[in-house]
Amino acid sequence: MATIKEELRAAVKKLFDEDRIDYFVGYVEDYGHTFPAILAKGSDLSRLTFDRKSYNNLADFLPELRGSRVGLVCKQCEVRTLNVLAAEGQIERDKLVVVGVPCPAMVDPRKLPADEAGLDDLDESYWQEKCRRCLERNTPFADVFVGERASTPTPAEGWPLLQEVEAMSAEERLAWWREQMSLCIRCYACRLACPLCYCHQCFVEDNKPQWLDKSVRPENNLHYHIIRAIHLAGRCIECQECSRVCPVGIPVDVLNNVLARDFAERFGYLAGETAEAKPALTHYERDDKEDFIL
Amino acid sequence: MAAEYYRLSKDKVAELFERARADYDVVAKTRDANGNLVYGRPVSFDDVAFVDEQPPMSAKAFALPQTEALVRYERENDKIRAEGPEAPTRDILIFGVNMCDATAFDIIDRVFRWDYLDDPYLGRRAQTTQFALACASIQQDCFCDRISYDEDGVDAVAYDLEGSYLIKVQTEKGRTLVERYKDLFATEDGDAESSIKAFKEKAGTAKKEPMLESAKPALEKAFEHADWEILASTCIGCGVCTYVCPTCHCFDIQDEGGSSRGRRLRVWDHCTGRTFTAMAAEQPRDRQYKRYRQRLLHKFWYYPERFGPLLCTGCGRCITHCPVKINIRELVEYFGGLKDTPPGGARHGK
Repeated sequence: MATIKEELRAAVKKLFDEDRIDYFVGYVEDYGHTFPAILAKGSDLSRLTFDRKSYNNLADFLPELRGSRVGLVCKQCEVRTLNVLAAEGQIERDKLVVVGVPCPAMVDPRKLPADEAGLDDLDESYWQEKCRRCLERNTPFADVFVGERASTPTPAEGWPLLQEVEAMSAEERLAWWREQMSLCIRCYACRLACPLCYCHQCFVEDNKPQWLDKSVRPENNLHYHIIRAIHLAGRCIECQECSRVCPVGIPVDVLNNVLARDFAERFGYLAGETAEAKPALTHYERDDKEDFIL
Repeated sequence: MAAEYYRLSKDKVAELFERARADYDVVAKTRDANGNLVYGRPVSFDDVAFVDEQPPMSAKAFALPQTEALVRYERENDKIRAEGPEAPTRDILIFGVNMCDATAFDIIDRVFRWDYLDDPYLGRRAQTTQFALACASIQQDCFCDRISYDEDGVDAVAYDLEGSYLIKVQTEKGRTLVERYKDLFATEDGDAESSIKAFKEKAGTAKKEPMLESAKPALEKAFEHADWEILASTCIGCGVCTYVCPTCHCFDIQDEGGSSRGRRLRVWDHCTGRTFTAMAAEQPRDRQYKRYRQRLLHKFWYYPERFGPLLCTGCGRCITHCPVKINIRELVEYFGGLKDTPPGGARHGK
């Protein structure tokens, strides 16, 4: 039986051979890493892969390729992102070929063992947090399916870190966030790795007026992270790329997670769950709950 | 000064650390609130992390803080009070600093004492002593073995020769450190350089050809290479590589505050970002791959052209922490003619 890598390489070759795409965005393996690559026709496809280190949310690369016909390897996280991007008018779905892959659950790079030989067998104590709580490992739709359908996962109950933070008193929680924010170096990797942070000009870059001081201090850093979280409210699909890419290990996504849960509770809304759903904050339904409006 | 060699028995290290705290603000590798490695101030010797792994943030901030007030002013009625930058109140000892971080200071120094003497930086440098601990192993993304720059300018280096540390002292600041705690150090009689050579062979940090310096002639012809665009277009334009880098030193000047009180600040900036140097007009590099190319060529062509060494110590942080794992070593080898295939296999341009 062909491995997922072989199936993927064959599928991508076919897309190029049939002239259905100009570029393919996928993962390649080299120098011990798995990393995103943009491939054009005639590129070497022999390093294309999909494994437990295929971390990125590849939808992040779509703005760069706007106007071209693009093939994209998609795990479930990417498909949900595409739904949000399409609902917000940011992608041309007819120019996109979605290659759906069953997700084997991504390994937390901070827990990656030195010997990667047993990567495929690592249990959930090594997984990324989102993968522990994942509800579905298959993509709900795809133009091309690759690999065997994955079985339905048993999601872990709750997120220990979030529970810990929520159990704190307001003062303790503020102190905890101040400590986290004192680590932030404002590299903006969280914003730039986020496929839903696609603003051409982010408020942090404005200088007339300058909404945010450039000095790196806990209060300024918190200001940035709170505004970003609010801009993502009801939009974040919890791919947790913001936390994964943070070089200093701040669990930024705690903010997003709490907001996403509010949307689930208040509106019964899960961002990107379906291609049809309208963005929660720009759409009104007569039966929207109003019990939390003062 | 000519190098001097000493021995430090392993059971004396804790005492050295404790006694040094009386004379220095001692910084060492330790763990932060989330358990991640940082250069910080360990509460006790037990909190010092003796590992080869580098903290994500290099030690450069001790000489070049991310945010630094160059001027602070306050106006009260018609009186204006202004203060210059704050110097550290105590001398700093960076205890067990990685070699790739220790050597970086000497590289950045060349910029800050070049035509204009940057007093805040040079003042902090004069107050900082590096006591480096040479790595006993080489990590996945490290490539210090491919860069000629070695122990240059490092005040003192410790080599773990199992039973004890061999200490190589190279500067007056290093000598002061040993002089202060003389009773803890023994003189070294053996052939120290041979021991160091053997240590590096075993650790995997001994130099290996071809050195990355040799890529420069080909890089000088590669500015217009067609593959920059496809290979560097996964760069997302964040500041991770530059901020974790021990040698990147670009900064922005910002004013904060108002007419009655305020500060003029120096803040780190990154050439990979969209708003770099946009204060006058626009970022001159209109596409992301050009910004990435700027970072690489600055390190391996423009800086060496002016100052000699590469603007890189091979620490590999910009690979480890890159959200998309762009590999600068592989790209230097490819565009510098040391390798035929680009990282991830041949790509075809747009």
